[in-house]
Amino acid sequence: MRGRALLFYVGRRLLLLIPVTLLVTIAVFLLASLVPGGVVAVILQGHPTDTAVVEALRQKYHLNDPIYVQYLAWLGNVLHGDLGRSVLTSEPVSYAIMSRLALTVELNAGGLLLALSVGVPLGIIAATKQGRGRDRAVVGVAIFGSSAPHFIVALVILYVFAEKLNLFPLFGTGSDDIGDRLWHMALPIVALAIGPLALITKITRASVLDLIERDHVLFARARGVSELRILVVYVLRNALIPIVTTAGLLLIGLLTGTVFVETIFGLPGLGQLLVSSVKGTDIPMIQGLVLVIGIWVVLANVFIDVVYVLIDPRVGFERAAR
Amino acid sequence: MFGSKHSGQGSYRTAGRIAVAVAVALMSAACTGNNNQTATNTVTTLTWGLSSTPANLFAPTDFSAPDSTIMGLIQDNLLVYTGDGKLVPSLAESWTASDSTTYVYKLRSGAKFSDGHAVTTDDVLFSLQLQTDPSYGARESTLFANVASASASGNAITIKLKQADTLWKWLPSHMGFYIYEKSDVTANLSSYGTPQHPPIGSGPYKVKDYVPDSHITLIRNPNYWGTKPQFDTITFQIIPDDNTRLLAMQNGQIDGAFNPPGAAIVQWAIAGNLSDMPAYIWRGLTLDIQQAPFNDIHVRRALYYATDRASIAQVVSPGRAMASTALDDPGLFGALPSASVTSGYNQIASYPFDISKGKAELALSSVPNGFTTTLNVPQESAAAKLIAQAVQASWAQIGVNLKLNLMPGGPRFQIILDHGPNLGVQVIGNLPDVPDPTELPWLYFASDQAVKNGNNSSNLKDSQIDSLVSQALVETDPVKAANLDMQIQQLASQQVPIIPILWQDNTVVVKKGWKVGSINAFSWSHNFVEAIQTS
Repeated sequence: MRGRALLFYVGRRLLLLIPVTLLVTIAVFLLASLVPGGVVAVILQGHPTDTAVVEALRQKYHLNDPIYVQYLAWLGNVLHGDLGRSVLTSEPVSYAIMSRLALTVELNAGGLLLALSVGVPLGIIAATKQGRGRDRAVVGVAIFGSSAPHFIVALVILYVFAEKLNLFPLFGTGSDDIGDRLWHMALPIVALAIGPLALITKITRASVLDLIERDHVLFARARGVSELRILVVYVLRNALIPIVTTAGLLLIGLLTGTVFVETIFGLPGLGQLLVSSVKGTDIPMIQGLVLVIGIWVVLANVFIDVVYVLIDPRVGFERAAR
Repeated sequence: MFGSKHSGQGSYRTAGRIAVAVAVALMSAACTGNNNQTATNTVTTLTWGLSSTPANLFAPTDFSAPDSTIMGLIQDNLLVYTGDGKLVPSLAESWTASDSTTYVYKLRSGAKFSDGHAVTTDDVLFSLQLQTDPSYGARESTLFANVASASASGNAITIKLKQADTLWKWLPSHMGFYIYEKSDVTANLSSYGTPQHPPIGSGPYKVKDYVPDSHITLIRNPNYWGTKPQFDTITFQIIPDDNTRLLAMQNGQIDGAFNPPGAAIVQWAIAGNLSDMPAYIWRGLTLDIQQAPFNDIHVRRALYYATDRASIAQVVSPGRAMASTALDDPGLFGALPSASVTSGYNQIASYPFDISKGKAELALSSVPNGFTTTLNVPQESAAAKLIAQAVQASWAQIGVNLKLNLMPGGPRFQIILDHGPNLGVQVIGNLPDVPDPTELPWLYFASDQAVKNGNNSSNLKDSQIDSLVSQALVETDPVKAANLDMQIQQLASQQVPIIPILWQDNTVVVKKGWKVGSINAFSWSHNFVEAIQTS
């Protein structure tokens, strides 16, 4: 029953993808149509040319059609898996996005994993040593980490560990060898994880602090339950709810950090593609990226909701779906 | 109470051990990888830092000077420039001009593309067609608009022009006339020059890897007809962040780079050896002389006086730019004796930076109390942004409020090309396509450019200037053409349609111990790596 409810819930949430992505792409399409000169100006990049060339380009990109016809044509192609071609690079948009997606997912997953695997234990340590030196040290570091901008953190890490200590490379993804790849991705992942790690630490600390004062914890301790069991079963399981919610939101928020980290470490991911597309007003590429980011955000929200329901027995899929 | 228990500390210790293990693994990987990196740096390998990936590697759809530094290593032309600026045969073994409108190029026998196919006259004709046929949408098609016909007989290619053209002789060496393999381009036109289908060429190198925003690796083209190039492999490493690129230069992970940012030029000079590469880049402002208040010459003079050109030049490119007094860099007047060039430039009206004179001129104008106007600034151009900010600050001193409107470069320039009314003030950066002083005065001063798709954003329309431009464009005697161009600049300056700001060169930095030999402004993009001296 719970499995069917889960499928039904996920299905309903995924259906929301359709109106959301439609609205987002229509908005981007309309905004793009306001760019002076439109696609032709982007292609010509300020080079003087004759009217015949301009007209040839207008016909090639169907720019003489009304805007709604252009949108419907684009949408029709999208439904057939064709996101069009970049007007700057001539690459198929879907190819450009897919060839970079894995790196950005790797970076984001690595960052989130690091943030959780270090942030949760740090938060617990701080909470269990509340008011002591370790707590203050952790809180101090967490405040610094959550306040420092991604690009500053990335530059400092780069300068110290790659330039001064010469332990890691300055840029690039390295070869296909796993060790080399890990060596290249270590600093970018750390740079991306610092902010989220600090946030997870603070959330975990606050959540654990709240729970260890609860009656059921005191009662368990009175019954002689071991402290480890109390921590894991009575405290952590309940503390996970805000942590998971935060982690899900970070999965969306990390995309912002990805832009800086990919630029500073010279990584060919979606962040750099987004920057170059926006700088170059590469309209088809921006539309494709908005579509992918919109889907990413919706999926991340569905993921958060599903995990939330799974870890909180008080919430069922039937209730969540209402 | 909770924290005083020891039962949980065992799990903390375990977590600590895991953390240490991961750290050790990362350190181990770090040491291994670092050794590999060092081992690959040899003299036969060149690693060059770039701030961005070329949009693609196909000149008809990506016409930009920086990107030509890579394309020029892959592609060959009928003619090329030597390091000292001479035009010499390349894929053409010889060429003649039978009259002022007919040029014959004899194709070199035995030249091959990197895929082993021979370079044919059909490939040459097709490569020209890429520019002249509007359906290909080539960015610089106007440069080739004077071509009337092209035909081949045996190994001879005959190109007939509609009229005599002072610029034509240079165009067979231009990136718009790279010789492409027709069968390869036509079969893959939509994706040509992208990572999906990297270009095939007959130049010294061929593409091995092409990963946008990561790197482009070139290796020697075994079929290249010319002298074997000095590097086996060239990797263009894309490092967008200025700080990271500098760090890469400092610790030897790149061997060189172009145009380090002006703000960090001292650090770059410490990290490597800086050299000047002539570029003849002109930067300045145009003022729409048909639009109030710019239609008042007192306003134009006031703005000129209020523009601190020398300081802007120093900020934009320290040591690599100088205040300009005209469009053309004097270096383009190589056909004239230097004394004539100096004397000619002395007769160009200019208004040295002087705020009090600027105020005095404005007081004589129709807007004695100043005015407000807007400048569209191409957001990708660091130089344009610096110029705009500096001009905004100095014009404010005479009461002119300049609002800055950051825009993407393409759409920003499209406003000029659309040539609607009221172009106001525009910031321009341009460099000539060929080593000839005719091109820029024609583009910015002739009335046939003060129309839709034209560059003349000051809307200068002067019959005497038009007559001189028409003569210069068809004049095949370089001395006569240069004299005409000088006159055009002198006449135009009387009307102050532009505020020239600076002439700028390019900078190349190579690692300590290396040097860069003679590079001409128009040869560096063809094969700059041969000018690098590693010992």
